[in-house]
Amino acid sequence: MTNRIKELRARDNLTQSDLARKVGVRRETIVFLEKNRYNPSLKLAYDIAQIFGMKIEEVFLF
Amino acid sequence: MLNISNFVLDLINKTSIVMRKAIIIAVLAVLVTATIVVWMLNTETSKDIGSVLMPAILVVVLGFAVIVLIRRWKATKEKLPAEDEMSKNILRRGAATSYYVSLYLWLALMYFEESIELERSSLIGAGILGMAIIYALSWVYHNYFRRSHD
Repeated sequence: MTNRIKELRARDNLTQSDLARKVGVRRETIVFLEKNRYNPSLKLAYDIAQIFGMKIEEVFLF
Repeated sequence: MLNISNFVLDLINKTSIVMRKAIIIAVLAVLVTATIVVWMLNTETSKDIGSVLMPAILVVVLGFAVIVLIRRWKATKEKLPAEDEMSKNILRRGAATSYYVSLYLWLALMYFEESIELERSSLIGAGILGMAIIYALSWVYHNYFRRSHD
């Protein structure tokens, strides 16, 4: 599974720390997500998609 | 006595959960260090092994505690949680790996029990310390060297 977090974060001018703070995780988790080295839980995926105002399947590509 | 308990209660009220956990880790690290130092000074039979092994164990235990404390301090400073789903995953994986490795540690200790010539209590102490070291190393491996954290 890949994702568009880095691209969307750049679009919304958010740092990794900003996004981490908004979804309540550690910055390292965002780093690993962007490198496709961690598959998030459904809740975290949903929260991230909500931050970008998109659906889960638009952010996370299966 | 009442002053001390008031001071402790006041401290608990003022500190966040993250800081409380950090304080507990620091206290545990100090206790483990003190125990190892006392053990090194009092155990005559393990002087030869202890002179090399014990400082190494001390470094690993203290190093692990320092890493954990720095991570928590950084997270608190950035107003981020010190633990999340990924870090809990890593803890679980580390615990699972260290459990299997620890079984072999105890088997090895039982096998070499005769030749090591340690007292039984020292042997059990070595086993428990070994388990702590294995857990610390296992956590470091899962946290820093694994390709994926799923």
